[in-house]
Amino acid sequence: MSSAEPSSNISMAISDSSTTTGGGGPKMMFAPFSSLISPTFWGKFDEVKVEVLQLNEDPVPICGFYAPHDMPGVNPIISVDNTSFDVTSKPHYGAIKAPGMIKTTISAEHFKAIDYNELMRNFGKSLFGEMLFSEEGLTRLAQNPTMLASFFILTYADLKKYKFLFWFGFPAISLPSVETFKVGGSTVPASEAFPNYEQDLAKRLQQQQQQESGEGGKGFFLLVKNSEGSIELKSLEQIDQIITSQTPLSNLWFGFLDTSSIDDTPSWVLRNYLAFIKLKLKLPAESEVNIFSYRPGRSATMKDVSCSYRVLFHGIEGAVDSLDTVKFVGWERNDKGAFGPKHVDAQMTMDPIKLAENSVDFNLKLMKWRLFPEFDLKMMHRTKCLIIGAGTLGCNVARCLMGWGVRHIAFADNGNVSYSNPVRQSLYNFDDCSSGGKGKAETAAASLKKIFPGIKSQAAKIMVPMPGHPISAGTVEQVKKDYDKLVELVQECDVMFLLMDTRESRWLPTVLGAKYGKIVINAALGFDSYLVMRHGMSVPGTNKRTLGCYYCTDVVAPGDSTKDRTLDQQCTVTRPGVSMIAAALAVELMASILHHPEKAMAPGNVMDSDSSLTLGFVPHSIRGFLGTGEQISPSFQAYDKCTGCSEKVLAELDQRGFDFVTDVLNSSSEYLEKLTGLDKMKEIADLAEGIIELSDDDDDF
Amino acid sequence: MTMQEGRMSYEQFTFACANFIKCPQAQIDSWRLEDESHEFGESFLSLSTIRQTSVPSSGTDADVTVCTVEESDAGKTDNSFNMKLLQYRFDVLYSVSHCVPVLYFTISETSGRLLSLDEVWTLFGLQAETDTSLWNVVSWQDHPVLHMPFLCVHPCSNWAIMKECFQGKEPTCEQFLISWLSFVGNQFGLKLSPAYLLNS
Ligand SMILES: [Zn+2]
Repeated sequence: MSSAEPSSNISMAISDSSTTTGGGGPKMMFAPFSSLISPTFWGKFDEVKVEVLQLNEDPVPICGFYAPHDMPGVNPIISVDNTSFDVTSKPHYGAIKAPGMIKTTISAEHFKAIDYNELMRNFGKSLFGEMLFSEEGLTRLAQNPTMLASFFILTYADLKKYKFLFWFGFPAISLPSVETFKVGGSTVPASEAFPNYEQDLAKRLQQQQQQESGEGGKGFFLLVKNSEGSIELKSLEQIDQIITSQTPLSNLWFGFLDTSSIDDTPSWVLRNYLAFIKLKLKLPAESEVNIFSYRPGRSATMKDVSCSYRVLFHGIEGAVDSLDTVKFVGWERNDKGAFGPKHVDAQMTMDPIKLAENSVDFNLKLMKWRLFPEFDLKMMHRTKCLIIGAGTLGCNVARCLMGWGVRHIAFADNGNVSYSNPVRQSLYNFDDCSSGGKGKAETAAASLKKIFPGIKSQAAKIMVPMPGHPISAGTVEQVKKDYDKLVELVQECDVMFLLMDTRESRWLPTVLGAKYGKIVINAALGFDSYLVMRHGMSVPGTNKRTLGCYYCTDVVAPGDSTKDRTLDQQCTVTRPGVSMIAAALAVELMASILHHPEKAMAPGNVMDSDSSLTLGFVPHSIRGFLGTGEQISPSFQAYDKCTGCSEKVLAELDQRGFDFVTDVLNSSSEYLEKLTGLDKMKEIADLAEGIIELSDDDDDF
Repeated sequence: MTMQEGRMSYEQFTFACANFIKCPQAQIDSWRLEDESHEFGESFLSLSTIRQTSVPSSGTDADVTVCTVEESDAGKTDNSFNMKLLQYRFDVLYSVSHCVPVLYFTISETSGRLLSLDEVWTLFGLQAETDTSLWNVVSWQDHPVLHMPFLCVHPCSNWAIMKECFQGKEPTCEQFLISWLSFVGNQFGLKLSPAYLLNS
C-alpha cells in the first residue's frame, strides 16, 4: 500500500488499490493538527517583528501547546499565544509544550514564491527528521519526545494594516510506499487491555501528568507488563534498558497523550512516534507493536476513553535507511478544507485607534444607560460642525465637541499661532509659534487628530469677508475665493459655531447660516461677561422665523469695529475663564438642540418647554456676568429689519450673491441700514439705548 | 470596607485567588494564576477554553489561495471544516478604584481574530443596545496587565450585586470571589462547576 503522498492521479491509484489488498486490518488514519491562535499571539508578534526580526527571514524558535479538549469529533489542536515567543514558557496545566519555528517573509510576494514542498521538507528534516537516522539522534528524541510534535508557521505581516498571512505546517514523516501502518485486529478499550485500569493505571497516569505539569509533560511514555503481570509506567528515555532486557514486544505499550477526539483516529503525532519506534527498535517488516492512546477525561463528566491499538509495520525490509527515502507532509488545510494559507485581520486586536474609538464611545454610552436614555450617539458621530474662528473659543468648543462624541469638525480661520496664544488656546503648543507661527486652522485640525485619531477634522485658511472692510482691486480675487470656500463649508456642515472676535466678522456667516437653514451657535465674550446664543430658524417652507439672530436687537448695521481703536481695544481682553464657560455652554446648547424633538425649532423660553426632557429646555440666549455671578436666559423675537436674518437681506443674497456681498463690504453701514429699513428706526432706538448696551459689550472689550 | 458591603481589599483578592487555584476543579478547568508581576493590582486569574459553534466558519477570505502541496493519504479529513471553533478567554482582575473583582474577556476565531462586540452580542442572541443587563456595561478596554484589548464588564454595579448576595453575612474571601464569578461569569458564558462552591 502506498503512502507516497499523491500529488498525481497515478500514485493515488496505487494507494487506492493497496488499501484493499494489505493484510492485518484497515489502514490506520491519523487526525491532523488544527492550529489555534490566540489574539495575544498577533499582538506579541507585532512587537517581535518590529524589534527583533525586522527584515530577517530566517526562522526563529517558538513554542506551541497541545492538550486534551472536551469537544467530541474534533482534531487535535496546537495553540500559540503571546507566551509562544519565549521558548522557556511553561505550559498550562495538562498541556504539552511543542517546539516550533516561525518564518516571516518580508513581502507577500516572497511568501507566494516559496516552494512549499521544499519548505516542508526542510523544516521536517531540521526539526526532528535528521535525528531519526542516527543512534545519537534517536536517543535525544527519546529524551525529548515532544520534538515529534514539532510545528512551524510561515507568515507575512502587513503591520500597517494589521493583516497577516499565515500557514501552519505540522511535519509528519511519510515512510515510503512499502511501509504503512495497519491496526492489527480491533481497537481495545483501556479497561479491557489492562486489568483494573480505572482504579489503578488511570490514576497513576493522572498523577504522572500532575507531577509533570509544572515543567511541561512529555506526552510520551512506556507501559511495561512485568513478570507478575502488573503494569509499570516508565519514561520513554528508558527504552534502551527495555531493549536490553529483551522484554517481548507483546508486553510493551508505547503510550502517548492522544489529543484527537475522533473515534479510532489517533492524533497526528503518532505518525512520527511510529517512525521513531520503527527506527529505534530496528523492527523488521511485518512487526507488530502495541500503542496506547491516552485520552484522559477533562472533567468529572468526561470519561477516560483511552485505548490500545496493535500496529503492523507492513512492508519490505530495509526500505527506510536514510532521509532521502522519506517525505514530509503536513501543511494545514484552510477553513474551506483546501491547502493554502489563511488570512487574519487583527485590527481589532492591535489598532490603538480602534481601541480609543471604542473607549470614547463607551463613556458616552454609560451616560445613555445611566442618565440620558434619549442620547443619540450615532447622531453625534454624524453631525458635522463648522467652527469659524480658531481662537480661545474655537479651541475649547472643539475639545468639548469631542467629549460629546462629535467626529466631524472643520475649522475656518485666517490667523497664525502667535506666542501669546497657547496658554489660552488649548489646541496649540509653544512649537506651533516659531518662525511666524503655523496656520491656526490647520494646526487646530491636526491637534484634534493627535488627541483622538478617530476624529475627521479639516481646516480652511480663509478670511471671512466683513462689512466695512472694503475690497481693493488687488484683493478681489482672494475675497471671492474665501467667500466661495465659506459658502462651501456652510453647505457641508450641520452646525455652525460663530466664534470670531469682531462683531462684523459674524455677519456673513449669520446670513449664510440663515440662507442654508443651518443651526447657528454664536458665542461672544466681554471682559467678564459672555453671550451664547442660537439663531432662530425659519419655520419650514416659509421665511417666517420666530427667534432672533445675533443682529436682531441691533439698531446699527455692523461696520469696521477695529477702526480708531488702541491695541488693547482691538484684541479680545477677557478674564481667562470666561471663554471656557462660554465654549462649554455653546457645545451644551448644541447638544440640547440636537436632542430636542423640535431640534432648532425648540421654543426659546422655559414657559413653553417640555419639562420632561433630560437635557431640559433649550435657551435662546444665555448671558452671564462674572462680576455678579448672574446668568440669565432671555429670548427675543426675530426682527423684520434685521441686517443678519431679515427677508430683504436673504432675498438680496439669493439674487445677487457675491455682488451683494461686495456692495456690503465696500459701503458704509448705511447701505445695509437702508436696505432693511433700519435707518428709519434709528431715532426710536436711540431712546432705548440702555437696553441695547449689553449686546454692544459682547465682543468689544 | 467589608465584603459584606460588597467590596474586598486587594490582599483579600489575592488571597482568594491563591486558594481558588488550589481547588482541584480549577486545575481540571485549566485556570491559571498570573502573579509574576509584583506591582499592586496586577495579579489575576485566567482561563482559556475552546468551544464549538454550529455557525459554519465565516470563511471571509474571498481570495483563498489554493496551493498544490504533497498531501497525506493517511490524514483524516472529516467535515469539521463546517464547524467553527471559538476560543474564550476570561481574566479576573482587581479594580483598585472600585475595590471589587473585574471580569475581562475575549472571544476569538482560530485565526486570532477577535469577535467585535456586535458579533459577541449576536453570538449570545442579544439585541444590540436594547437588553438591560450587565451586557450594557461591557466595552473594549485596555487589559491593565497585558495591554491588549479585552471586553470589560464595568465594575460599577458589582458591589451592589455582592451586597445583595450576602445580605449581612460576612463571607470568606474565596466565597466572595466564587459567588461573584459564578454570578457575573454566568452571563458571559463562563459556567462555574458547582464543585467550586462545595470546595470553598
Ligand atoms: Zn436677525
